[in-house]
Amino acid sequence: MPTMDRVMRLATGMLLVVALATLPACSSPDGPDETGPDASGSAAPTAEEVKSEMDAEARSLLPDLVEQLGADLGGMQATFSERGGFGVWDYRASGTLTEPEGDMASVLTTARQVLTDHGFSAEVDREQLRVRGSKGHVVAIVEAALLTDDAEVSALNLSLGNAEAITDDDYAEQAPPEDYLAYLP
Amino acid sequence: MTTTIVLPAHAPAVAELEATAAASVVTTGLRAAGTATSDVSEATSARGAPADWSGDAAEAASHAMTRFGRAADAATTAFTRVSAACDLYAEKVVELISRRDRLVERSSGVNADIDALRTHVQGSTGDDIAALQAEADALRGRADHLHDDVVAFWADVRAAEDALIAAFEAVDTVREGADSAARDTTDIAALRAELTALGGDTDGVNAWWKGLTDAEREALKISDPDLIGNTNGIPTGDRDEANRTSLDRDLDQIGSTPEDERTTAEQRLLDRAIEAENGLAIPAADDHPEVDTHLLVYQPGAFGGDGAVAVSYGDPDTADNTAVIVPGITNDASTIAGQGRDAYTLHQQAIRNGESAATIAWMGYDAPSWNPESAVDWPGDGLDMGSVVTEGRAEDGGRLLADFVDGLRSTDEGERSHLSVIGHSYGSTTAAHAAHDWDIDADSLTLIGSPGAGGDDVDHVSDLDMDPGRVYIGSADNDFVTWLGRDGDLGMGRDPSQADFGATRFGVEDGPEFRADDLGQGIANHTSYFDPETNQQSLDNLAAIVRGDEPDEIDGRAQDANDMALDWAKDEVVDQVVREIETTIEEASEAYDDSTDWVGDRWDDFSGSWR
Repeated sequence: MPTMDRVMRLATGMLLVVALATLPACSSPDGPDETGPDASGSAAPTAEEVKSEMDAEARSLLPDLVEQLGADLGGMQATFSERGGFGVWDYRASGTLTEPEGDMASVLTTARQVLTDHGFSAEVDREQLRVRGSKGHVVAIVEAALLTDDAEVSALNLSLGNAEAITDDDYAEQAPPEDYLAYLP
Repeated sequence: MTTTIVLPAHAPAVAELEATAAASVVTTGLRAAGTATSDVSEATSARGAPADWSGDAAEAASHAMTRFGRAADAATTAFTRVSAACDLYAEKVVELISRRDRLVERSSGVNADIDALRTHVQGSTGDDIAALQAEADALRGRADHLHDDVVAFWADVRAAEDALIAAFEAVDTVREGADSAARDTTDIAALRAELTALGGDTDGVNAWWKGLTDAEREALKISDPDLIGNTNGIPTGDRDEANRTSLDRDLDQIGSTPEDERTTAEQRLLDRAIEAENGLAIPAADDHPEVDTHLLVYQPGAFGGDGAVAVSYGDPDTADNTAVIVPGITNDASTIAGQGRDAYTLHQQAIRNGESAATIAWMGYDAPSWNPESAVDWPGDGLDMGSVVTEGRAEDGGRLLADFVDGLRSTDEGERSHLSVIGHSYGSTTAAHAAHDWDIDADSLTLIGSPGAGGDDVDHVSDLDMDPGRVYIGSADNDFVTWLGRDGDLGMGRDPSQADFGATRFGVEDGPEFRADDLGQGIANHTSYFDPETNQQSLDNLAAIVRGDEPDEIDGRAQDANDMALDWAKDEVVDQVVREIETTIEEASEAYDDSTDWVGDRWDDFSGSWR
């Protein structure tokens, strides 16, 4: 029905002109919510979602990482902490992997491989002796505890944390610590 | 002929030491109890009989108060004595643990050498006999010497325990406590007056403190923990012990009051005490209990209830590198655990060069924050906003910061520590004032997320009076606070990241752009400088500065800070309009689709009925 099409398009155009003429100059009553989209274009996750995602990654990743590196993990607890009084929160866990097997180069290569196998996009920073991987809303960092030219490595710092800050969420304030050591067999 | 080579027997295992360094916790508890009885004694002495009592009743009450005061004095002295003994014992235990470790190591070495010699003997010939016997004799000598040292070690363990028990037994009755008090010649009031008279002379305070006897120091820590714990120039270990005594006292006294019976002031004070405790617990929760934590400032009721607290990760008196981190707007003592997390994260990066470090979260000034009790200019909200746009608190804080750093310099032991001051947000303005107004005794000054370098007199980095090249700036381009720097009366001074300011600007992650309806991202950008997940570049550069290395330098800003804010505002207006148009187009499109469907349906109806 070409005649009907022309009529409807004309009506729509008129509606647009009227709507534009009545637009408030600088308001957005129906804009996105306060958290807004994140870098990936999706809505920023809540504290509960970040915790759930990171705990699941830790449960899967840590046993493999510890086993492949042949290292011991003394303890690792995930907690929320607030940045100053801004209502911006981070969820982070860190620990120390002691006595990994192999020299520095092979240890970093192994750590990168384990992260990649678990779906992380991972890179090695040779200057900082660090492997950094990201997946979804989680960042994993494995780095030599000491910046040294020695080939030997006695300990590694390990951390998992959220890739974007969490804003103003009561859940973060109330959530108990999560013991990642319990994820190891 | 058979020749026998006699090998020494294996050295027996060195038994475990039952005592641990955690014995110092007992000392803190005893000291807190001593402080409580000291407070009771002072209150009783000051009060006397009730004012409306007279005659025999008043006299009897006065006598009773006096007797009670003496008993409290006796108890205080008893606590002082046993605290001192416990302190010595805890120190001795640390030494004994170290000695035992060395003995265990020597024992393993001797036994391994015995095993190696046995293997050697089994494969030897007659020609080796003399040399092997000599080696066996030498090993026996080592084993005997080890045995003697182990015996001496356990004798020292028993002696340390006996000394502690004797200290307790000497004051375990009221009479002994009273006798001890009578013999005690420590004049607390005089010592307090001497210390107060020294004012802000931190070198003088340090020399005076070192000149006291152990008993005098212990007595002061019990009678005046708030004074000793917060006086710059007192050594870190003693400040920590005194402040932990006060912390224990607050947690115990206020914590034991039912929640619904606490006053608002008590609850605020308890909140700050709990946060201080949380800040001190960070390394242990992070599986790094070996990191020394020190409570360097503890005044939970300071600044109208905002509180003042400083927590150190590592010992600044002995550290190779020390950093003092100054927080900014919205912070007070109730946020010390979050500030501590930043300081601890920096500590763990700073020690990666193998040197020791102390990083201090210093909430020792009154930053603009949410405080309902001082919200005179922003009713209903609680943020003392008026102070945010003026520099008054930064100026006052600058002096307090410079005094605190002077104290660290006075208590520094051995080789002079490399000392960095890092100010974030409003704290950077405070740190800049400490440099310009009070000539802060730091090796470097770092301003991150700075709204301005403070004061009309600071036009160039040279006006901050730091050594050339030792002022560092971290400014993320999407950190809106860094757009505020400007000349003139309104604001907090020049943007220090401007190229013509002349400071060394280092690389940081700029963070994602944000719009007005996503200010959370803007705040995240402003608070990311210590965050390894979102701003590793900044954290690495800060760690380099703390170690005394140079960070990765980038060009200073060529665009005026306020122009950056203006550009953002213009973009925001355009963005809002575009978003409205997009929304309207979407709605119109939906309306068009709906209308098409409606007209289509009607047309079907119409054409159906026409047929």
